[in-house]
Amino acid sequence: MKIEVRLFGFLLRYSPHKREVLELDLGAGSTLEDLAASLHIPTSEPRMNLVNGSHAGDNCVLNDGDSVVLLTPVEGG
Amino acid sequence: MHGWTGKILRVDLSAGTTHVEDLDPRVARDYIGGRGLGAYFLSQEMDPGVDPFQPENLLIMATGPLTATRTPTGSRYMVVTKSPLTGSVTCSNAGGRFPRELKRSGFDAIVFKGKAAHPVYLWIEHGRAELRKASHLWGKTVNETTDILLSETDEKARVACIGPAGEKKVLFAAIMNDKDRSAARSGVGAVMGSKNLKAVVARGDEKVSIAHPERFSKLRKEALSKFKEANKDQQPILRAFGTSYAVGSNQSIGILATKNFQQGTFDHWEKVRAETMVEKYLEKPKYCSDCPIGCGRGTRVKDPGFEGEGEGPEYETIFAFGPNCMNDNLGAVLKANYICNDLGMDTMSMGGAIACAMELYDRGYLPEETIGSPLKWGDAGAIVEWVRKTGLREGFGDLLAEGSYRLAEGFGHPELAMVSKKQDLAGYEPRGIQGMGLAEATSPIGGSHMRAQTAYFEVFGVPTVIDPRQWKGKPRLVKIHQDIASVIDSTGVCYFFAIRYFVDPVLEIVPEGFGQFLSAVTGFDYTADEVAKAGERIFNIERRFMMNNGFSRKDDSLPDRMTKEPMPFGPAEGHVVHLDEMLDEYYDLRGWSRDGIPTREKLEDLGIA
Repeated sequence: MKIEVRLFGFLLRYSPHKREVLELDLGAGSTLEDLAASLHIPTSEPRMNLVNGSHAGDNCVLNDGDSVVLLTPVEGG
Repeated sequence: MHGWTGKILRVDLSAGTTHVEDLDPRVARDYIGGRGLGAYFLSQEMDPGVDPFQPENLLIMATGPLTATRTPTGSRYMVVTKSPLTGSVTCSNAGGRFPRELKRSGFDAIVFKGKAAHPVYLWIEHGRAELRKASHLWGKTVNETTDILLSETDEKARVACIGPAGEKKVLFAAIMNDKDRSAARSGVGAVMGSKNLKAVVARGDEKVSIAHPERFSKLRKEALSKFKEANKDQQPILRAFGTSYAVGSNQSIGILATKNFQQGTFDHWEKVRAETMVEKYLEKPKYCSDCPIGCGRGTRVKDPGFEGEGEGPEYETIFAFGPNCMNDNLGAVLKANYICNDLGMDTMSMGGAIACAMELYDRGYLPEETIGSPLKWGDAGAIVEWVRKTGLREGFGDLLAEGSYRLAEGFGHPELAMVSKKQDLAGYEPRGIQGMGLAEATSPIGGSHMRAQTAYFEVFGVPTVIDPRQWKGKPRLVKIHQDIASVIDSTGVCYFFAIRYFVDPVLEIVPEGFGQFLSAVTGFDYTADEVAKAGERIFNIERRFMMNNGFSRKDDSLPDRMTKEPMPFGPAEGHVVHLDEMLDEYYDLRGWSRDGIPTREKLEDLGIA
């Protein structure tokens, strides 16, 4: 299934070629955790998820055509 | 006293005199400082019905007990007065370096009353105060004024001043300090101008006395090491991008207020996002005194027609001159920001007035002859030009200077001013963020994102994610957050630090949090309950002042667009703000009547006579 992914803040460093918008091809039933792993984002990296404009947890199951934003949360003040 | 200097500087501008009085420790304990202390003085000493431009209106500049103590981010002060924009009590917050210097010059607060016969400035040097002639400064910009004052007082001094906008009583004129920091909202600069007071210059190195130095030092080190730990792999996101980082998150959630709040997403958002600003215009981060974060933006624009340099813009400024005006020219946004700083104006209400004028023009309610030229959505050059002319009250700028509400009302359509209590809403589309909607509707100062910055929860998930589109549960969130904010606003530290120490994931005030700093510094034992009660007390004494000015539920409002017209498209499509439902529960939680009036029992319980 095709997922559009945007990477904000410091997560941009995990994007191939530093492109902010990615079109990923993921297996059916993939979760946000799977997506992050496919981009080699370590679990230690602070991250907030939005799926189609709503907050979502790592166990959120994705659907074909979903728009995902992964962003560094505001931290340290 | 510890934390507080224990000294209030009283300035009678009509008589041309100053004197020092002691700060009552009981008042200090109950109202803390800053916003709380200002509200206390206003409510005790002033007829609430006074016109804001009358000499009897008090103008108060108040630091807090933590200002200048080396508490991280401890360099903030509040300006408190009755606002000419809203008719309510207002508090306008600023950081930078002046607040720390004011405290170290020997005073917790300055209370101005009256009106000087000719322009003056106040020079405070190591506890001595003097009113000096300022006629040679009248008409000068903030930058010019600051440079001249430093050269005629002390190059190491710090300056807070108004620009031409405050002198001309633009209803959203600001008091600027350190050139680019602003106590911006509600026209506090206009009140200062109405008193013929051009500036306050402070110089001092008096150390603030700490009640329990070892305990305080430990708390301070712990806070800084937590901060370092959280940012060990990279710099804080706020230092890297500034508050403008919110452009991307808000666009993604559908709450980037656009086109005078007609929509919550902006097609050209990428042109005005933080990353673009960093790439094209950022020179370096800027820090307030004693702050480890560095969220300020030192910027420069070389784009032809928009050349300039200075500090900013913040997220709210980008929203106000960018998406809200359908403008995708970021260089123009920065230029508008620099002009607002130099003439001394609130960027939020300035952008709000222009966006409102653009909609009035678009709909044919505001004739082109009145403006003198077209005023189409997205016209970057026009935005910059009208900012300048508003600050100088030239031509149509004289109408813009009255603010969006009076402008829209004058052309028969007050419902097109995106305001609450006549003050422009912040850059969060309330239909997509219900808690912020309620917070702005019930804010004492009118539209404001800072009387409860619920975006921390509803957007950024600090400390925990709360669904922004859900309205249930928001009355409690907003009530608690408003009380916390009232305390933060009174202590003299920055929200960005304080919010981490107050709230745990179930939204109760954390006893081991901020109260510990206050206790270690002041020597008073600020329990969690006492901190919570102080916040409620401050919020209620403001509400009582408002009540005496006829404010009630009818004024805890949002434009009909927010409550009656569903968001047309975007992630928040279909939503309206459920304000009526939230207000009922909110008033119950506050112990107020369903008409939004504090009960006698509530006021007595808080010790408000």
